[in-house]
Amino acid sequence: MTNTQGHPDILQAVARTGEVLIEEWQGEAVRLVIAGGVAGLLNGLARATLDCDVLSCSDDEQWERIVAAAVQVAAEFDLPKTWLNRDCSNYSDSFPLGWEGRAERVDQYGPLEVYRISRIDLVSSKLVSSPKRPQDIEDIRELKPTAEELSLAEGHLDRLSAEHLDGFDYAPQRVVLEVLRSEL
Amino acid sequence: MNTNTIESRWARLGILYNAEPFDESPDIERLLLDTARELPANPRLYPLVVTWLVKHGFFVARHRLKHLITAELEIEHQPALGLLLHEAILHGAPAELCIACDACQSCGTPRPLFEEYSHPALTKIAESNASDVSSLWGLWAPATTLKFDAIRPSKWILTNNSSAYDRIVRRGDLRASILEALRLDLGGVARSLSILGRVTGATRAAVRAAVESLIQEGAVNDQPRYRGAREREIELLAA
Repeated sequence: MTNTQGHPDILQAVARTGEVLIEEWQGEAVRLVIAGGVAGLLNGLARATLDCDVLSCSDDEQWERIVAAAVQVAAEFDLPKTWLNRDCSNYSDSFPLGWEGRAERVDQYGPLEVYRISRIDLVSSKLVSSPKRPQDIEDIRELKPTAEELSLAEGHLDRLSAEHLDGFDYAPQRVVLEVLRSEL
Repeated sequence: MNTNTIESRWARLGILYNAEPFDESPDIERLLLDTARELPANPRLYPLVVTWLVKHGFFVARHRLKHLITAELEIEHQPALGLLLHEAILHGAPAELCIACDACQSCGTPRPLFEEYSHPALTKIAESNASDVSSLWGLWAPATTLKFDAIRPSKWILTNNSSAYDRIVRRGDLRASILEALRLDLGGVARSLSILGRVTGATRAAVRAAVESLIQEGAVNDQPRYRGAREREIELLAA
């Protein structure tokens, strides 16, 4: 299990959720890709929170069962009932193309095969949200992206601009990008 | 002993930080003061503490907080706390927290709240994304998105913080402030009602009524300061 710097509740909770599910599980394992605080933590962000946002679930039909198990585990661990959620999945379109293939394996917990969003996808998505989320600028600085990674993130902005129906050019994000480049 | 960081103290109060909860139960009101001081350099605190206040704001002894703002919080940090409380109230935190919010002064010259936007090229972004309430306080900050998935239920707070029960059953009212002032500021004894009035910022009449209620609840005792004295001292009784 990945070390979570002395406070492993959430990964323990994921593991426990897997234990609850395995008792009556039928079928193949489900692949979960996590973003949010835990993904940041697993990518090395010290100030991350321990909420577990699921960006994708490979079998939507199993999601309700997973949530039911997670709510049961929330009561055992004194966690919020929504500690495992898919709130961020609405934003999956704003991740760089191919993010699912780049996700990195964390571990398998019962029928749950858990992946985390990759570093470059984390940087790119945080750059998109940075004008309205100062903590994302802080996170990008802490991740210390290379010039190449910032160029990949810029390519992501270019794609979003090209695809935007109202012609939004992501100018604020590009300003943040230039400031980050000046700090390299 | 665990490191005494702002994250470890909030973790003890139920924010799901990647931090071991601090060994001791935090002084919630002084933690809010420290939060205001650290906010510019720690932007993640903002949505998390706002959400905590929305969910658990009645744990705050608001009269004591009001007093500590005027007595201990430097003027340059008051706008940050005012904004934090105001934003929380707008999102559904107890409206009663207004009495603490009103004790904060706003910022004279508008500027970004967060140091992440201090680069001249980013200052304009901070201004253009500033919420109305943040502009009111003179500290540009974006509107908060609440993060309930990072806040533990009240059961955690009650289990891990011995005085939390006394606070929440009184919904953070003046009685809670008197109990916390006795426990945290006065060594368990107030030599007069006037002293309690001073450390809670409440009128003598309000303090007298609250103390009467606390005596009936068995939470405090009062006795003459000396034989024949009119002034009575108030003593915190062990829970």
